[in-house]
Amino acid sequence: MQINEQKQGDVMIVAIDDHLDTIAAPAFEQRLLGLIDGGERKLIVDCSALQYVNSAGLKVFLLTAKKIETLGGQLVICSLAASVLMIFEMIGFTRIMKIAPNREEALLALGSSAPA
Amino acid sequence: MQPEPKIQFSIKVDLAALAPTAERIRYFLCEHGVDADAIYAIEIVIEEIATNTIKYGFGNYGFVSPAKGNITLTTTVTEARAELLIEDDGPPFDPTQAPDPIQHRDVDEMPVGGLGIHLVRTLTDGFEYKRVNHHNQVRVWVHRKKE
Repeated sequence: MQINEQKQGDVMIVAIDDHLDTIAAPAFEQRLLGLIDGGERKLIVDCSALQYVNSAGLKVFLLTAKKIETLGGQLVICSLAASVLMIFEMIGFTRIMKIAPNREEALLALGSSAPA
Repeated sequence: MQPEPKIQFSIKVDLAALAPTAERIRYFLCEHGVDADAIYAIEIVIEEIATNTIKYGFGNYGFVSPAKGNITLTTTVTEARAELLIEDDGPPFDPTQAPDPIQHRDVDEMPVGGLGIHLVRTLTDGFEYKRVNHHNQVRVWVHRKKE
């Protein structure tokens, strides 16, 4: 699985590719938890390419949110495709997690803004 | 009358074998005009149920004798629905009895386990388990959308 990182101010933006399943989830989990261990406290996961997620992938989002919030940080998930958003709704994540329609809104939610 | 389109795959207990099989089932459903939402649901169910079977039914990647450890996936398309039958020769394991995670109000309280079963219950129109001849049989179906 391809994971791209981009730092913008104090926000770390992680973009993932199209398939987050049982095979891909462990690497994704390691990467996100590694970023938090490395001191990141404002994290955006950009899901604009994501087309398929199952419970193994959902678990990674939940674990990451749990960990970062315990440390006083924040996770915002942005740019979910309709099919993925439907899964997030079913599982109750849209109620308990911060979801933004796009990267700009995600940055705003973290108190940062896109560069002019 | 034409027989109902059906496709069957037998795989070994191996997570790596699952993805290509799911891919072929998706192609089969697509070929028979099943709508995208139903295909998506079946795809998730394959992964959730078969992964559960592999991880828990056969004991967390523990030793499986060569004669055992077979999973058969049979997919049938009827006019009204897409149906998936997942059979394995592992110890009795009934996923329909797995507890549903209570939907909690914040990240802190939400349990990490049980998300997969919750997805299966929510995405399907039917979810049944039977133990037949020392085999687990899990049957799920999803109604097709009318054109």
